[in-house]
Amino acid sequence: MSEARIELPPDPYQRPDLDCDRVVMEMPGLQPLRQVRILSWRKRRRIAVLAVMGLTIATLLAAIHSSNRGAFLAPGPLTNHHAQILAGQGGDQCSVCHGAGSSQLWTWTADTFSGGQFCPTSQSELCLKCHQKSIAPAFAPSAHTTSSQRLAAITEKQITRFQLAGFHTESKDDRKLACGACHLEHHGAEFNLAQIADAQCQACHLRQFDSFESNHPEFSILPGRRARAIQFDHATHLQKYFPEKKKETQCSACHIGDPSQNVMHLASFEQVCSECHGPSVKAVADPAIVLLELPILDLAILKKNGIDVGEWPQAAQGDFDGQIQPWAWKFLLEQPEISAILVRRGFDFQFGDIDPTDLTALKDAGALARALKHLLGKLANGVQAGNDTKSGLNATGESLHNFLPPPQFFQDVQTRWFAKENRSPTNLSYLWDPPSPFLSWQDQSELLAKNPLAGIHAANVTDSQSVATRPEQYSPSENKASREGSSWDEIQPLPYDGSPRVADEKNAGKNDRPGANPGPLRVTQPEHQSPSNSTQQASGEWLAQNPLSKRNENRTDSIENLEPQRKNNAPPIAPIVNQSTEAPAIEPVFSPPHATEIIFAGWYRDDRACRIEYRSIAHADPVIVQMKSVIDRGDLAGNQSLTGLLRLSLTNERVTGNCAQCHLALSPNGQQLAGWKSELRQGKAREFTRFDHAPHLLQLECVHCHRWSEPEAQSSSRLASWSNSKESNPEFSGRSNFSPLTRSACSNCHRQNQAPNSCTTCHRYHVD
Amino acid sequence: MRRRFWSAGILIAATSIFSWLMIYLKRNFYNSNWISGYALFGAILFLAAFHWRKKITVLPWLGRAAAWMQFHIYLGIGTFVMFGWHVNWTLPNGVFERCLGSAYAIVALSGLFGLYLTRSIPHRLAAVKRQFIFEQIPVLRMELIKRAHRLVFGSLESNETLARVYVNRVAAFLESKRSWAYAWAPSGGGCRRIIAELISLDRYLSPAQRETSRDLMGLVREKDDLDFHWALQGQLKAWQFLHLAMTYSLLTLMVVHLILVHAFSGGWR
Repeated sequence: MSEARIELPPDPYQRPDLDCDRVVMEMPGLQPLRQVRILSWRKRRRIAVLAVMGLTIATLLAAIHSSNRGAFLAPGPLTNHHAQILAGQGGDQCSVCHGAGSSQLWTWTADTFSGGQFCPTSQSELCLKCHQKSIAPAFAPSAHTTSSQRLAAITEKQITRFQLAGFHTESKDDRKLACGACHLEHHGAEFNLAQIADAQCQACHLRQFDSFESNHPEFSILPGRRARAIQFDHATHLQKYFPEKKKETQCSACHIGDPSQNVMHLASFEQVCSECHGPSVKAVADPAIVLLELPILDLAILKKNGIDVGEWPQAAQGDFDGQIQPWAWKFLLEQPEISAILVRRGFDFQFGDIDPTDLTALKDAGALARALKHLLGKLANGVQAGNDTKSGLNATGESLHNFLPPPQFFQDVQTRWFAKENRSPTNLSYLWDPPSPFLSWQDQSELLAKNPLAGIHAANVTDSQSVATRPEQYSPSENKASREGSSWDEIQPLPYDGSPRVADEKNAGKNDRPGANPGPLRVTQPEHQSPSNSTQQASGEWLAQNPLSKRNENRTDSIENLEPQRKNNAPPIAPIVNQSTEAPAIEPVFSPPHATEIIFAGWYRDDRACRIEYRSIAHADPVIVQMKSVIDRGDLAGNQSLTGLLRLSLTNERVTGNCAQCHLALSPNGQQLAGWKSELRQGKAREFTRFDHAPHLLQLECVHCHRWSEPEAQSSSRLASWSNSKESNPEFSGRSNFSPLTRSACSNCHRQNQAPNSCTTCHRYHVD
Repeated sequence: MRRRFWSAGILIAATSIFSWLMIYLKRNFYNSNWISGYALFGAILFLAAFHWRKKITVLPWLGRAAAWMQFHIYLGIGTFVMFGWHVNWTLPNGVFERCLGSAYAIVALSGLFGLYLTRSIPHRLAAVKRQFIFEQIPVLRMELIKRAHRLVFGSLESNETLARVYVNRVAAFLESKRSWAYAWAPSGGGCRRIIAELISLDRYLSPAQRETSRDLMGLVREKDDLDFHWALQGQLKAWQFLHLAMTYSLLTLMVVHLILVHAFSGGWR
């Protein structure tokens, strides 16, 4: 406080004789004048500043050290999801998501100026404590929560194949994104944590566009051009088969929504297909997949040139003939000497091309023969992955184990084919009756006990006239055609007519080989089923007549027609068949189709052709699936030629032709064995995109988006005439019956101010 | 005018660049709040430094206070854009952040109000015949009362009527402190009423007494001028009170906010 020192202007009313103060004191209504005290404004301002600052600091300290500091310091309310989870945390809610939540002010201050040393746990790491089940912590900070290498691969695929958006991968692949970069918390209970601007999506993507409805890339792959695993002619079924069978023609009958994956699943084969296609699939008896076949060796020439292969079955002796089967190559390939032979001869090496004067070729033949025997020995001893480098089983044994028959099967093979070398007091299986079909997943002892053909042979033994005795009738001049003729088309059991079985002399003379082992069953054919002189021709006729052949359009009818005949001609011995099937536990060998298909299912040993082969037993045959899996997994050491051969062994129309009718990827034209399942959209292919059929189907029909393709749409009259015929749809070319889905089908509704049209409406950021 | 044009142009360009930078950072998943936050913190520190610059007069290389003032004004306007981007153009939700936002708003709005006052009040003060120093006004007012006393009481014997009116009406006006309403919006209504009463008294006064009455009217007008200056200059002082006090409060809250953000932001460290 200080008195002002002000220079006042002169007073014109100054009167020395007047005491104003006295007058004022005497005048009622007037107040005596007081001293003027002036406080500096600068001082006042300083006091005010200090007071406000002090008040501010005091308030802050009180709030920070209060028990309710979280509510004071939090930048806003949490979203409902997090708030509900943290409701039980009491006053320590902050520390659940923030490393500094439980610290004090001094710690926060030290943390700020020390670069985060006092609160080392990042917020994103705390996020992953709860969200690690859905997001891999290793890739959580990466773009799309996946590796940069995978993003780069997807980018290449997207750009080259689909012309959809790719990613910038040069500069941003190593960037780490905190969870909070997109998920902004503390913005209120109803705030959308997943909201992200379209511009943010496009910041990383190569293809830029203004909006979904204006210039989003077309859906060039949906659904017509997308790789399909199942070939299904919708037009044929909807307009012909279903009406004939009085089946439901609604899409939902086969396409089942799954709320968890937002895709329409295809009902299983058993649910929707088996009623019509089940019998034809089960009745497959096509030529089998050959695992191993002994070539025919001229032992005399080999011995003359000093090449010893040891014992060799008589059935496989004669002029050089045959070849190494692809699956056998697979086993033999890693043996060094075999690899050398492979380099010289190639996979298509034919023993029939061996020049008897070419010592190298003879040595190669001998080496291959010995390798095959060695392989059989190893298989008989049980393949253990990684313990046998010589037979090439170390790298693939584990996979192969899934479909190979048990070792006892190969022991039996050894005993049969190499009787002298493998005869022992403890191994008497060679005395048993061949051949024995084996189901790869059944216990060997059980299988042997159930061997249905054992009974057949027993019957043959008792009725010697019905059996073609081989050794005496074998002709050394047996040619290649005769070996081909000894396929299972030829040796499968026929409906037993009860009459004495007499081998066709012509065929018996051509096809039977010398050998102690009795060959496959050969029975007298009815007149209309008799093989012709040519074995090939005989085989063809067999196929024509074979009720189990899938190419027989009236196969089911044929089997049904055979029923009375079978019932009337029950075999003398009824073997036990697989209990797991729908067939009765004990069935006559030749009576019902169930028993027949079980007999022919699984692994077979053809002693006459010295061949081990497999034929499928039912839909989704597990062994064929495993074989295909081995090829698809690329366990073939990068040998593309062998891969091709093995693939060919599965895609061979004669082997798995019935599968390829529906499984498009198995067809001979298939580029690769893509998959058995129809659900191609499961897993990786759909992870960036989502579509929920359910809300759309509330208002729209399926055909609103999935429109018939042009041929079907324009040929309604032709379809009408065709649907009255008994033939298949002539228009169906194996492709989808539907036009590719266009963007306009979606953008008609999904446009600004009508329906959501942001990127995240259909695309998801977090992928596994 | 030309300077103002260029200053406004630079301000618009700078805020545009800043806005583009924020959009780019947000689109590319960078934490733009760190950039805008630190930019805002630096800008406010620089704005507050103007107050320290005025205290330091011995360092000529700091530049002229007038230039600082201009920069202070335009940078202060620029902080509106920074603040907007920092809070994503939404209102803060938390208690502490609302306090911080309110402090910024008070400082910013008081700054704008001060800008208006400093641009409008000098013209109004210049319209008054005499200029007064704000701190001298109370003394001048007291002296004016004394002069009025002497004027009236010196002629008390011959002019009792005027003295009676002075004691009952005029003295109260001269001695009174004006209200907050007058301080906020000064007007000449009170002065005019007193003068009107003095004029209406003329018919009861002799010519000599009228002369004294005229002198008294002059003193009343002078008191009104003093009050007018007191009110307007008081406004100039008062907004600075608010602006400065809240600036330091804002700085305190900003430092705490900075510490909290560093401690709680997390991130992939």
